[in-house]
Amino acid sequence: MKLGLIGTGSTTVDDWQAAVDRLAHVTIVDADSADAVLVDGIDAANQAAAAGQHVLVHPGSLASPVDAGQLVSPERIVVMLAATGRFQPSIQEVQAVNANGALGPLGLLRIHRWMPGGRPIGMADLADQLDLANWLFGTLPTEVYAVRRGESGDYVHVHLGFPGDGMALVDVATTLPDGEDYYSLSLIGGDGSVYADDHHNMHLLYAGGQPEAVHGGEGVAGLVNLLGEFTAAVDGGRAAVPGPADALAALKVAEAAERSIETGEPVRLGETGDGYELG
Amino acid sequence: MNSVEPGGVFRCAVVSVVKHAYVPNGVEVHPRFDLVVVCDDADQPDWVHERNQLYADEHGIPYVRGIEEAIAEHDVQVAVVSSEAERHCDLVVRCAALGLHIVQDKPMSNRLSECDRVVEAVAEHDVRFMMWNRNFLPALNEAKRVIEEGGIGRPYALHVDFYFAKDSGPPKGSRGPDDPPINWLERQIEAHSDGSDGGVGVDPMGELKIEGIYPLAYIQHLVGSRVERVFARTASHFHQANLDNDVDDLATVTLEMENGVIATLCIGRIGAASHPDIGEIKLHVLGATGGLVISEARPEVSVYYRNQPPQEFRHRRMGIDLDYQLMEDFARAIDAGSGGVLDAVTSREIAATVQAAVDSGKSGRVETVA
Repeated sequence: MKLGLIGTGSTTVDDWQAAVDRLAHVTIVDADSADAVLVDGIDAANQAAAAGQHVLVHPGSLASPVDAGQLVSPERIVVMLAATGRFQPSIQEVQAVNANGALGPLGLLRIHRWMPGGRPIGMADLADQLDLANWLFGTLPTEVYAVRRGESGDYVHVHLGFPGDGMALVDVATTLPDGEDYYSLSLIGGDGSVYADDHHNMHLLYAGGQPEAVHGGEGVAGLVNLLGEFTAAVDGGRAAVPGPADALAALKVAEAAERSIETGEPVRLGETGDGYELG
Repeated sequence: MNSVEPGGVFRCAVVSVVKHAYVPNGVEVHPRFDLVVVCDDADQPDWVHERNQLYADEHGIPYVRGIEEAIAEHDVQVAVVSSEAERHCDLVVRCAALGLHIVQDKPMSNRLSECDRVVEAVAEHDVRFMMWNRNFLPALNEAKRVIEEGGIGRPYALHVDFYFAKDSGPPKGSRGPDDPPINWLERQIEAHSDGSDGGVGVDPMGELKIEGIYPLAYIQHLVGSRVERVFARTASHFHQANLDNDVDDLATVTLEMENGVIATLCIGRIGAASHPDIGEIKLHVLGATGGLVISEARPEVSVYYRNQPPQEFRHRRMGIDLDYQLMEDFARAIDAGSGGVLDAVTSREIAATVQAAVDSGKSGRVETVA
């Protein structure tokens, strides 16, 4: 596959290159001569798809359910979300254990996503994590309650209820000082649990005074996994996962969270399953 | 009751000890507190008397069937109450009326009206009250120090995961179609052997009521704000006893506090298979200028060896000075005539928060804390 990098989202070109270097059948080329492209935003995605290129679109560039609903997937063209979170090795392991039934019926998901920067938390930021919740539970939440804090809205906490016993707490912050992100995900099932968090995976640097934590990262393995799914879908002539429908679902939940924040009350999935309502 | 000079030793009555006895055992760790008698009401059932007698025998102190008589005869200044949950507050009120300072096991009560009686009695008789808690575990002390030194700026969000990786009788779904529902009290009495009888009593209680005081006390201890609104999801996800008695064994709680602080709680008795030790207990705190991630279990030592019994903890907590620090704090409160960690008013506020969470879990709505 010849992959063109039109937009790289928050991931650097060097990281995409490093990932491609690990895949014998993928090369990075100029976008004009590519048979697949990585893009930011609806317009770029739809233009590429219309031109017959397979599309990897950054979910962070889809700001609302309206955006996601406008993503076009022409026949025989693969449109996939570059949802890097799903493909991180640690998260893949979580889902593998979940999918093979070892955890039993899911009960509780907890995610902390903390970043520096101070920008307001938008729907795309929330959808990035809410997509993981939808994916792990395999369905949309039936209840959404959320609160926002910070003068610039730089902190959002979302409380989800899933059909049956399922529940999730997700918080996203941009209030860390300049430096590294923090991520934590734990999943509790009826028969077992999984814990994937940065706290556990820290090394220590002693250079005087308090030791410094050195994050044991997962490198570009997540991008390699993502590109593996994308190329497999293209080669197999099948839809890739996650696709536009997953983006739409996650953004609907994010929109419900925004509505809950505005009203101070939980919102619930309507009987048709198409949208969320107060009450 | 004779008063004790500052620095003197307090004579303590163990007023019912039907659970695993971590509270009276913790009290006697401090050299200023002596256990001198175990007592309970004479009309209690045989299993209560048997446990009280056993504890008295193990400690070489008398067991008296009659609380008021025991206190009068043994010159007691402190009552250590560790009965069934529904009796906690009534025993506390009676002991406070006799002028005793109180150390009480959790939960404060299964009814908020009973907690109100304790607040009134403690104030009326000017005695000190402490709910047993874990606020002085080494990791909590570190968290408090970092926050008080301004390490993360003003905290605005605090999240606690408080899972106990223990079983609690048969798993959910194991009851046959002709089997009767599990009797809560019988199950709790049976659970005494492995120390998982925290919910002992006639009235069934979920994990929120049994254990919620601990993580909610952490939140109160670290940020000091009062909870105003609560949204919760609750489930009987693991254990047949909880399902049969319509009480939670898994819950998520969102707390909106005064001053704009947000706190959340994940709590559950999630089964022994879910963690190699007691359970994952963590705190995540965000402040205006940073974040803090704390593992409640640390410091710990890892121990593995051939033929290690499966029930033996692999990771063992070290440097735990909780019992001494709690009782030192309580002794200081008695000496000073005020203060102390987790007093009656704060404990009542936490009980009200728990009740709001239980109510929200059933109503699906945001509940205001009473």
